[in-house]
This record gives sequence, C-alpha cells and structure tokens, in this order.
Amino acid sequence: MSKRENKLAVELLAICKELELIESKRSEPSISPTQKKELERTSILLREREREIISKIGKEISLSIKESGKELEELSKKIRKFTKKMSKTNSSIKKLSQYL
Amino acid sequence: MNRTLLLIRQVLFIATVLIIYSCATLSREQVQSIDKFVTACDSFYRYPSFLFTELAQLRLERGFFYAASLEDPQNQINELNAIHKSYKNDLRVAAKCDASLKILKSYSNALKVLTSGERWKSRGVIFRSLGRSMDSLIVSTNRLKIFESDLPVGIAKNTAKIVAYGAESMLRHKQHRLARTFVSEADTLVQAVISSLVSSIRSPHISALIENEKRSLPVNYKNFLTSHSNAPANSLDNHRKYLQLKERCDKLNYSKGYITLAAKRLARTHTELAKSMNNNKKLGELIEQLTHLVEDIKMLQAIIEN
Repeated sequence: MSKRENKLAVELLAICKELELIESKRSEPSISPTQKKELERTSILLREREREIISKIGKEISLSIKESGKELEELSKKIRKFTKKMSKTNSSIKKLSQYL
Repeated sequence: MNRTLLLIRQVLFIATVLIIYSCATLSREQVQSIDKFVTACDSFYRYPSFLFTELAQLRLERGFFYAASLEDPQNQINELNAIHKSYKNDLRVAAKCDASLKILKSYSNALKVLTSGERWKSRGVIFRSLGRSMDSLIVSTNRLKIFESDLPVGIAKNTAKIVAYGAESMLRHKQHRLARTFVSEADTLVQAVISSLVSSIRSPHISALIENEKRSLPVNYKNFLTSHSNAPANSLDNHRKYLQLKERCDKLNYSKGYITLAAKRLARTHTELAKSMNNNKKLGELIEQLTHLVEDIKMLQAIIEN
C-alpha cells in the first residue's frame, strides 16, 4: 500500500474525529446563535472534505482493480477468437451439407 | 487375403491415432471442475462491489440525519444536493469495480465455451449429416440413370461416420489442449486480479471508510434528535431506521472478511485447476477446494441477503 493511500485513510479518520468534536459542540444547548452558525459552517466544510477524500479513495481502488484485469481481458478475447474460429469451420461444413 | 490384411492395418492405424487423441483430452471430472469454477466465478464477481454500494447507501442515509440537523434551510438544500451528487459518484465507483471483476467472469465463460462438448459433438453430427446428404445425392443420381451402372449407396454414409468420429476426437483434443494452455497462461493473471482485489479490500482505505461510517452514524443521529427534540411524531420510525443502519454498519467488517476469504479461495481453486489439467494430478485437492469455494460463496450470499 502506497504512502499516498495511507495518507488518505489517515486524513479521513482525522476528519471523522474533528467532525465528532464539532457536532458535539453544535448540540450543546449553552452556545450562542453566532457560535452555532460558525460551527455549522465549519461542519459543512469538513463534510465537503470528507466527501472529497472518499471520492479519491474510490477512484484509486477502482483504478487498481481495473489495471490488474487488463491482461486477463486480453486472454479472454484470445480464447473467444479461437472458439469463434472453430465455430466457423462447423458452419462451413453445415452449409455444404445443406447445399447437397 | 492381402486386401483384408491391408484393411485391418488401416483400421488399426486409425484406431491407434484416435486412441492417442482421446488420451490427451480432459477427463469428464476435469471438465465438470471447469463448469463448477465457472459457476463460482459467476456467483462471486458481484459481491466485492456490494461492499462499495453498501458503504455508499449508509453514507446517504446518514447524510439525511446530518442535513436535517442543520439550522439554515439553504445549508440543508446545499448539503442534500452534495449528498446526492456524492452518492451517484460512489455508485459509479462500485460499478467500475463490478466491471473490472466481470473480466474474471468473462474469462471463465470463455473457458466454459472452449471446453464445452457441444462444439466437438456438433462437428460429428455435421459430418454424419454430410455423409447422409451425399448418399441422398447418390440415390437421386441413380434414379436419374445418368450413369450406365448405379453408383454404390451407403459408402458415403459409413465413411462419414468414421470421419465424424475422427473429427470429433480431433476437435475435442484441440479444444482441451487449448484449454490446458489457456488455463496455465491465465493462472498468473487470475492471481493478479484476485490479489489486487484482496489488497484493495484489506487496505487501510476500506477500514477507514467502514470506521468513518460506524463512528459518524451515532454522532449524526444525536444531532438530528437534538434539533428535532420537539417533534416526536415519527421518532419510533427514526429510532428503527437508526438501528437498521447500525446493524448494516456492524455487518460491513464481516462482509469484508468473507469477500476476502472467497476471493482467495477462488484464486487457489484456479491454481489447483491449472495443476490438475497439466499434470493429470489426482482431482482430490481440486474437488476439495471447489467444495470449500462453493460453501464460502453460499455463506457470503447468506450474509449479504440477510
């Protein structure tokens, strides 16, 4: 696992902890409306960052799985090419038989 | 006498060639093992993307609680729009993961078609049909009295039977020889795909995504309850919803574990398949792996469907 990928996972958990703190403060009955507004703004920004990281993680995972399958896809095409070739011979003989 | 001996030698030669071709083909158990592997691939390929889809859905549901806890209506709308966009993006990622694993399914289906008995059997049928057609043509020609004496009937049909048997054996041999070659070639590639999948699922990424959902759900729900403390009307439904989401979060690690187990089993089974096809090894180990693989996939299916 690359350092960049670890970095994303670490950052996601850091944001999760930060959000827990902010949300906990937001639900306190003693805070003023101004403070509440400010906390809400901070919370929204953290949520945006959370979504960005999750999106990056998703892209990296799907890319790595896709890359690993390219050669196998080529081999599948090769196998299908052979089976198609074998089917052609059968249909040629069948056509001759029908003609007779 | 000489003609009889010549005929016997010819028949023995043809029989020896056919026996040699037959010996090089896969056994019925080996072909059945391929079928079982194909079925397992067909069942397995959609489960890894389930993990990503489930995470996306949990994030969406949790997002509703969060959005509802915001005071400013404009912030609520903006958050809902962002949640919707993010959810669609997450489903696209899950679909890409699915598409990548479909390659495994595509390979296994191509292998099944290659080893299928239909192709070589149909070649025999076609040659026999050709023989019958030629005999019919001869019968029709004889009726027309084109030649002074009638052409012999039945030779084409009987020759076609022998040719058909030979054609079946040769094509069967060719199919199985190609299957052996391709399975050997594919083994490294299958291991690479599965290894990449297992590595992704076991990465700190997925653990972080799961942990994020498990920790954030109660936090978001608490703020939702705090902001809606004066609206008890549907509180029981909300509590019920919260508990359902919590249970789904708790199951994520189990699903992750079973997907990893099934993926590794699939890789091991393919390796055993390659070994059994090339070394004509005893099928005991392969059959054992296939049995465990089918059990793993059934277990995965049970977890996900419940």
